Amino acid sequence: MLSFDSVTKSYGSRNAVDQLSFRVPERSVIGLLGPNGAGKSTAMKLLLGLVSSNSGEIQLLGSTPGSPGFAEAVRRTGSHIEAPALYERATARQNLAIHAASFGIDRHDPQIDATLETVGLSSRSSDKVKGFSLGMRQRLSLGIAILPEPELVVLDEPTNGLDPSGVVEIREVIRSLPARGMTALVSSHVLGEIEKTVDEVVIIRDGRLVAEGPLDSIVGSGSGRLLLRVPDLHRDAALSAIAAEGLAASDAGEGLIRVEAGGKPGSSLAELLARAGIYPDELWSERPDLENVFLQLTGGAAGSSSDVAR
Amino acid sequence: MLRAELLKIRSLPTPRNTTLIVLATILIASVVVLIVSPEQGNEAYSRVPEAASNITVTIGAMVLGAWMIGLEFASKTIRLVATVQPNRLRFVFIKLVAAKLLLITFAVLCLSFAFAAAALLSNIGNTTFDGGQVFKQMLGTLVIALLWGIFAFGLTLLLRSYTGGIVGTLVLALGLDPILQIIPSVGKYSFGSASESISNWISGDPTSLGIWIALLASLAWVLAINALGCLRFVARDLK
Repeated sequence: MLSFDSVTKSYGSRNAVDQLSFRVPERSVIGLLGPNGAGKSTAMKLLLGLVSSNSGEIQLLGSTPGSPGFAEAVRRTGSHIEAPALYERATARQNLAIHAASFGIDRHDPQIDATLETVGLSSRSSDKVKGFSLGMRQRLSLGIAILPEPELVVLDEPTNGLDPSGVVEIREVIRSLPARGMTALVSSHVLGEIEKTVDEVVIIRDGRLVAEGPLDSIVGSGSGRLLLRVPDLHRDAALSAIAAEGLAASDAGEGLIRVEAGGKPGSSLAELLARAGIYPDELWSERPDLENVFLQLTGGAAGSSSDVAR
Repeated sequence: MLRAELLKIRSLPTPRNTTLIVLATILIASVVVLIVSPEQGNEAYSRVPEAASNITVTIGAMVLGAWMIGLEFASKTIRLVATVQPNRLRFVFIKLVAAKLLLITFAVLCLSFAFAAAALLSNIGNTTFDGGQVFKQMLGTLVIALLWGIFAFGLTLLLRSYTGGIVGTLVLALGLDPILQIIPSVGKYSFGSASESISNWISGDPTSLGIWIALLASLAWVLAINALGCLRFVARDLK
């Protein structure tokens, strides 16, 4: 579908994208994550041929920039890069109609109404964009990106400025794209949101790849830690029983005990406690969220950026 | 993609507003003549609408020429439209075709209105109305407006700014070009002077350059600025 192979893009002496390599499989939703200035937008612009790379190879729908089929490949890609690109003095419908006309779609085509419905702007279709909130502009921009039913959709921060219900709606739209035959590359800094939207993630920092793969393999199916809540009365007895088994346990606050289970399942800990006559109120596996992993991979000085997690 | 450009012309207010402002200016100038009511036979009756259209149509053409491409930079839609038509040379060509269609429609509409106003006022003021001559003069204005409009298009493309394109064209037209014109030997080859020569040739007035030289000089200016704008647009990143 698309791939970056050792792609570098420099602005002056600064590498905005540095030896970046990743692949996006067909009919999936891929999250492109990274802190501000990591090179997400530059990577998307490289993909769309808006900026040219200094080295490396980009493949977009089977074509490379400069090859005869690349322009057609870009046309088959819907995009929303950085801020919504809209004609302020035109209505929502007119904005869509103008874009549709570029693809030979008539301005009265039902596809325009369907797109307005999809992005939740049917009731505001005759209003001029200059009166729209950022969230409404984001919706319209997403509508423009998906209107011609492209094979690939590149979305840069598509939920930026949306209220919680809008975020959910747009998430549903993005999640539905693979079923409509589209592949989506979505960048976002709202990690909790992206976690619910994408199948796989590509995490970059300073223009370099730091992690790539399915969410579960990036985040990990479990941390090897278990959390349990026992009645205060049995707390010390529980800690003793766990320690007697050779497992490390510590206070996790809010009445919780964190157990370094070393891969043992929760059921074995429950059995161990039951033998001591203790029955936990709650017991679950502690799973790190994407945010923690992201901060670990991109935020701290720890870990070399050349260490790619898969 | 030309359909999309024509839809922009229809949907967005700048072409309509510019046309209305120019028509209003011609109308106001004509009404002022009626209010002042010079003595019968005064040539002001026929000259005022023509003079009003001469300058306003040219300025309007500059605005619309710059708008046709500057719109995408001002709206920040340039990246979007450049992905819709990734072949940037073709993109500029389509924009240029749309600009020419817009400029011709705008200028013909406004000049026709001015022609009608001049004919009507001449009738009211009992002045001789030489329709053929007025037509030639307005045809000259049409050519000047087209040349300046396309020049503004190229400058806007070069500067990648709608405001920059309009201001730059006005500075050249009202500031730099008149200065160039007073320089001996080369002044007559300035864009303003060369395009004026074409207009004068059409209307039968004296020219500072022969028609072929004037055409060559005018086209050289327009082509040069558009080629530079195109080169920058094609070769440089759209960050």
